Amino acid sequence: MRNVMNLKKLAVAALLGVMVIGLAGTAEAGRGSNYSAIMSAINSRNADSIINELERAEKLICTRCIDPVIRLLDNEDYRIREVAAWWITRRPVTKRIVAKTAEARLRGTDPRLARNAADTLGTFQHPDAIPVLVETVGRSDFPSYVRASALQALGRIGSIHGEAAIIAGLSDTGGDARMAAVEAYMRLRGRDGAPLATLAGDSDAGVRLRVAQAAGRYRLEGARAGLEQVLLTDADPMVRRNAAWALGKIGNAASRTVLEQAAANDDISYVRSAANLSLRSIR
Amino acid sequence: LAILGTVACGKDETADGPLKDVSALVILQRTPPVGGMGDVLQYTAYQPGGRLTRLSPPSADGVATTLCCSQFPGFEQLDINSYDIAFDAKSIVFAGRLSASDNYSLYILTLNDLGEAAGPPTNLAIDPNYHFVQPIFVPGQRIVFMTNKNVEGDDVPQFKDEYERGETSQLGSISVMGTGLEFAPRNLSHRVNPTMMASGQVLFAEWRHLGDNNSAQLTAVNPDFSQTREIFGREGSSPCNSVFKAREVDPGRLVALCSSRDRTIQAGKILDISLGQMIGGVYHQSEALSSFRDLTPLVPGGREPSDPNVGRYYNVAPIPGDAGKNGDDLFLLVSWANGPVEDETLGAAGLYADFGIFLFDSRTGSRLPIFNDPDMWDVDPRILAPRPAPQAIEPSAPNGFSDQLALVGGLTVSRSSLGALPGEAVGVNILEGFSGEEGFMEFGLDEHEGSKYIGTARVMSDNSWAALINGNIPFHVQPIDAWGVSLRNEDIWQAVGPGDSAVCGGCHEARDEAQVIQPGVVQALAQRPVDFGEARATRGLGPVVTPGDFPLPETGSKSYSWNTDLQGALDAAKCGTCHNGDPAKMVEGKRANRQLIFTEMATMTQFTYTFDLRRSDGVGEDYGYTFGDEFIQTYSASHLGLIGYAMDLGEMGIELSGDLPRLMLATNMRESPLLRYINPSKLYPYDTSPGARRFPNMPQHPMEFSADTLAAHDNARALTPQEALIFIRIADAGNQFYGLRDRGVAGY
Repeated sequence: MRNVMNLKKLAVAALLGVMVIGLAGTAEAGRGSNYSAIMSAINSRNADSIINELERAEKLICTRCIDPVIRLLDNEDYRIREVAAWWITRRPVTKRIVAKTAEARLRGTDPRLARNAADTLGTFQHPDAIPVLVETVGRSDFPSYVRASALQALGRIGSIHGEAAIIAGLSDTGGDARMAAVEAYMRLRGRDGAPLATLAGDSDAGVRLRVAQAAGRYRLEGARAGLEQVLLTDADPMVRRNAAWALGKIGNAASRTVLEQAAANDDISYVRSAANLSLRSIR
Repeated sequence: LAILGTVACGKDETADGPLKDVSALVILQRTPPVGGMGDVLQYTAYQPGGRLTRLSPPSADGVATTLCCSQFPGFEQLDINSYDIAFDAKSIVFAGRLSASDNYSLYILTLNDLGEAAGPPTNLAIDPNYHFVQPIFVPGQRIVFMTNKNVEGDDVPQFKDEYERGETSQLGSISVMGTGLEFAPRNLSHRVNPTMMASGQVLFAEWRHLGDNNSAQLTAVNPDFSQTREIFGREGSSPCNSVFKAREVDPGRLVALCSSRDRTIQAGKILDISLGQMIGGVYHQSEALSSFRDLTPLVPGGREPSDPNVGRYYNVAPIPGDAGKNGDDLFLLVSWANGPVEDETLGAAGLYADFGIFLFDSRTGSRLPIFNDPDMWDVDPRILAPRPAPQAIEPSAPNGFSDQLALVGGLTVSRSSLGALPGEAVGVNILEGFSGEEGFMEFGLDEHEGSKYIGTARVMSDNSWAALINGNIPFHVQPIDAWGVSLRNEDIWQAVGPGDSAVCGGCHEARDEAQVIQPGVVQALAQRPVDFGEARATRGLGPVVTPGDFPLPETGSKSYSWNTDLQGALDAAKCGTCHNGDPAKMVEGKRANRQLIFTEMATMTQFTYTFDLRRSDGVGEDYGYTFGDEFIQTYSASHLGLIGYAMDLGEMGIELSGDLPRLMLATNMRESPLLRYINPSKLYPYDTSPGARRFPNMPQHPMEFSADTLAAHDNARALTPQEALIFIRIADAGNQFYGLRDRGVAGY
């Protein structure tokens, strides 16, 4: 059925070639994007410019653009890596090649390339990547940021087949990986949040922040004691605010005392106001 | 303009001007570059250092003082998305984000009698898992805002935007005390920039995306999120793709920004919009009667860089009362930046737009500078003074049939400002939308969003129709003829809350025209309308509901999948025995398989497709069409063959030749060539006799061929009425490839 041939090889009449080149040179391909615009955006190194241009190039047929965009998958800015991977999802042949490369990178030893590969597969959101991402979550030889990216990718895929690895990630030695595990868990549908309860007093402020949010969402009674401790003692006011909010959502009258203390004494206004609102909700 | 734009404005110039009675302005200052602005509908951009500044008097030599919040502990990394001043000017609500790891949340700052912060702001702490942005005060001590929190609950993913990347923002409200949280039914794309109108309605911009429609337009809704009305931007009323950041000047008159949807840093030109016209001495409002005046004709309406001293406007705000008027012209407070104000040009130069506050005179087009901090974006100027509260609108009455379901319907299905229907409507198809959050990045070659069939409501003898559907879902409707074919596609998504109703007089009736709904008189409402409510767990996959007196030869599916349903019908009818990708195949002297030739103009690479309706096991693997190393898309051979060159290939640098016509037109089976081949039997009432076919007494392909020919092709046959209905439904839904059942998970 498929019959691909290159007209250049068939030496199409020069006149036709001139006509076509002329037309192509003046046309603005895609949705207002073209090769020059993409390269201009990439060369600007401005994340917003690159993101906007690649979004506009969603449907652009531009084989010359593929290599420059693939190189963006190794950009240090996550937003640029993400939009480059998204652009490639629109190009299934390239996507399959990139996915294979990403799997190999995850099974390699270069942590930076492995992180970028995990981010790429997370954007692809294809469940075929789950096994290699699960393997990566178990790779203690990688820095935790690699495992964090793998966990984030599992969350983006959102499949129950990644759940065991996500729960394992809640015990990772790296705070960034644990935080990614919490966020990934919250992307799974139909869960009760129970595995998160013990992390309310985690040593990492980012984890505590996210767990407080999760505890409110799932109304985690098991996290209540940890949240009460956090509300009164945590150094990070955003964590205290989120803990106050979560205690209101859990709604146990036993939290009244600590909420009253926070409402009256916390140094930060938004912690006090969150505690006050929670006190109203558990009356 | 070039000269006036650079002239400074001292105290003397505003002493007798429209701001002479204004003691202070509030200005939002944000630290540039505010990354992640994206298109005009994005709302999550964050850069620490945002603050509210009070300028008094509002002139170039006024004194600027920080109103909030760097003086308060815990706000060191704050950014502010937007704010509003209470009607009594005694408080300000703003959306603040404390750090990059925080989400935007709502804060209320109480002001003292001097218009200064009376203390640190309080936090409404709605839900730190989500963004809450763009708050405005509404009557009844409430605040309306935009949020990505889902009215359907935490376990239901929020809709994705048109690119299937960003989470959409939706309407919600809460009391100023932080209680009584409510959410509006969801649009399939973003809603942004709410503002109050004197009528008590909330005006906002929403991203309309359904098929070819992909723009931001103005819509209004009551504060209880009932009675949604289109205001401006559709039906060719706007000179730009997107109209946004509107503010009301007087009832029936708005100012708004107008621009390309992206690349312009959420800035654009200024439109002075009239929402109606005097007709026969009576003022009528409707989108068709609306008009606009371009107050800044030099500012590009598209995404191209603006010229020096032309720039773009980030905000526009009317000055209330006579002080804001200059004859028919207006004095406006604006935020404006010089230069290209186009992200790519600025990004390439390593620059950012420098927005400052100006007084704009629409009569002369001049801008008198009021305030500009070159290190900050100075935007969203508002007068710090009491203003009349809009009238309060009573909550809408319940629909009277269900507290859980939404009543949708029409009093006269054939009535529309878009002209008469091209046939008699016997029913109305209702379709529910979904987006990339369900796991698909694409839905088909025609790029319509995902949708599933909810049901068909019968049109009664008085031309009315009604149905009960799940609340909070985006839906659109299509009146259908007796063969189940859409007569017209309503190309906007609507949504209605549980217990609420959306019963229109017709399509696009005037906004000022009262609709008198009289249960017991309107036939569709004389008894309980057909109930299409479904549990979420099985939604889209449950059995089709048909009213007892409106029997249909249903397919049993509500979520049509190309590979499962349509390909299944092709397989069952043996269509692939003739249409097999063989360009030489002849059947009784007729070519069975025509061809399409795609040529990528940049590389002169060519791909020839030959009509092929056989099943493909690996979707895309063998049937995608490719240029060099790149596929355009990966859909099955039959999808490409029937949908054809649906994409705008010209814009993609591809030329098309060959002799295979497009057989299925998205949302338009009525005019699709395939309809003649299928020639469906009449469904309403069900009649399979040849005389009752869509094209009476004409054969249903391939029955025009001899029995011997059919026998030689594995007894190929015509589609059954149920199979034909699958083709009709898929085409009229936008030629979709993926259905919910492709997820492999029940419900959604």
